[in-house]
Amino acid sequence: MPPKSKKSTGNRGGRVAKPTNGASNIKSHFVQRKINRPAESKDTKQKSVPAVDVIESPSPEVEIVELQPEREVEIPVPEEVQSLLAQKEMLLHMLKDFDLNYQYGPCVGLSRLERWQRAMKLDLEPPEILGKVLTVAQVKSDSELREALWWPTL
Amino acid sequence: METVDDSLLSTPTHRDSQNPKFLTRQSTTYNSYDEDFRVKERTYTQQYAGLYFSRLVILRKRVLNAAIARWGTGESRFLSRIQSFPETNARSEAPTPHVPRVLDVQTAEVCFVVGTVYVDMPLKPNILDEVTAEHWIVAPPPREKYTSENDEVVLEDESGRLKLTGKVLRNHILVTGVIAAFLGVESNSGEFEVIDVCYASWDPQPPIPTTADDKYVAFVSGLSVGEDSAFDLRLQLLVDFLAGELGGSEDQSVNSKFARVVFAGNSVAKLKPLEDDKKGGGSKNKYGTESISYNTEPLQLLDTLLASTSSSVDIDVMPGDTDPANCSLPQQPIHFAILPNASRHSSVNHCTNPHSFEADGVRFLGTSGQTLDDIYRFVETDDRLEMAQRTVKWAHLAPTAPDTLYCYPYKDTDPFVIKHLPHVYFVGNQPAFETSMTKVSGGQTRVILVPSFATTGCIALLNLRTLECMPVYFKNLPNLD
Repeated sequence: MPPKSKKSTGNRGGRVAKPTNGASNIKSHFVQRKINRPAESKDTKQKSVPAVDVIESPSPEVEIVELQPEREVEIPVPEEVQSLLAQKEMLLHMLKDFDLNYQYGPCVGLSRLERWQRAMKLDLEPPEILGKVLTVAQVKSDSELREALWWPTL
Repeated sequence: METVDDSLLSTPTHRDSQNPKFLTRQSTTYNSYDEDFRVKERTYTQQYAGLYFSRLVILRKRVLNAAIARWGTGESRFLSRIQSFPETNARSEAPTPHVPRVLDVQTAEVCFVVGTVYVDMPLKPNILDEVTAEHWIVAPPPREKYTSENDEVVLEDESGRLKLTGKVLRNHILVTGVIAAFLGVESNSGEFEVIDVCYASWDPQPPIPTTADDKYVAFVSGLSVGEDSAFDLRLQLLVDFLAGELGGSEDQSVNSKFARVVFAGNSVAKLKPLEDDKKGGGSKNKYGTESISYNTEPLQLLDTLLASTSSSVDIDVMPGDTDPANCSLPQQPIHFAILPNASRHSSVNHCTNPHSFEADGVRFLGTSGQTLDDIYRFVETDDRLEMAQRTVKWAHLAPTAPDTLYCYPYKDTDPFVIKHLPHVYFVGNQPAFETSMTKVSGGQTRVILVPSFATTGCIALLNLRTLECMPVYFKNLPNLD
């Protein structure tokens, strides 16, 4: 360890301390030491400025309204649909027949409800009961009932 | 004509400056039916089968009505023709029945079937050929026409396919995607020998309201504004002509009758990338990809031209093949930010590519030309006017979409079906100006082939009162050509 040399605090040039013996110690070459500055800077911070002409804006009148959480309007499910939904296997069979009926066009690429709506739009008279079943929320969440055969591969 | 020269060459008189004559431009009522061609939901998970199915169902009803009216009444108009086919023992006493399913056709029984036409062309570029070809064979250059002697016409519906033969087919131009009814007999070989063909029926067309004044609609297409167009005198002449600033007072009073100008596609030539010498072509993005910047001068020039035209006349701007719009049909309107100065005027209407509107009770329908150019590649004839007339008779704007023409995969509709017979049907970017009146069962249509302005210097003017159409030619001075 080379001898450390301290500079006097009277020098305010802020020079970095350098090792005097010319040793090529990298660590000491790059060392920067904190210079003890006079306490002048502290005084400036402590000067307090009186607050004058501070305009206090009146707080705006806020009405707190509690929003109701969004709920899907629950349409009452008609009885016939309910009875069909109870017999899921038969319903599935009916839906598969609807898929494979070539009169309503290809069943690939669109959901059963979309296909039923297309059949309605093109005046092909699809069975009404299926339309009612397919719009029920319970069916919309069940991918086996909502999507056609071979979904999602095709 | 002498008075015109005098008024332009003489100094303005004091009386003229005190009582200036104002000419008001004629205007028409305008209703746009482009909503049918706007694509709102863009999902590409489905195939094109839905589009073909919708087309078949929508048009089958109309074709069936026309076919029953033509053949199904039991009149034996076709008896003599049937007896001329010796190889068939056709029963011809009963009225010719309609067979709902193509596969249910019985041999030696005269009947008619409705379905989608598919033309099998061996020369048509097939993706499977590319896959099976050797890697070191270069792809053949695109041909002008893909027709050949070995083309087969096949009729398809939900049940299956039926091969069609017969000399009658040569008189009828058929492309893939046309919905038609075919009267004929199935021969022993299983092929359906066609005797007659029938297309869709039409609701009666509402008549054009009678007016006293002449009003004109101008059709311009293929401006193809490029880097050299700033020096093109014809473009300047065209803009001045349409804005009514050309000619003497007599010319101007004629020009004031132009109520609307339709720019039918290809208003700007294909944008070329900027050749940047400094950076060696393209600046590098963050991820190392090069971004190509295009020379936007043609767009700015087009913007200025359209702004000066639209300051005095209503214009409709349709996208075309080379315009900055999407590639697949129906092309959506050019974004207003691409033509900022022109779009500020309320007289500018950005339209979709098949464009449908109504002006003063006259119904217009037209495309920028891609539909007709695609049909041209798959028929033997060169008569483009005949092809345009056929598309009206087939009741379909673009039957070759989606087979050989890029198209959006619609799930439940086909917007290219012509539901109501238009009074005017125009196709842009054609090689020459041609026009005719086509008569179908519901009425008649003025078919106009609008030529490309860059190659011919010609625009089309349609008189709304009489539906007459005339070309106007703009030429450079001979030594400037």
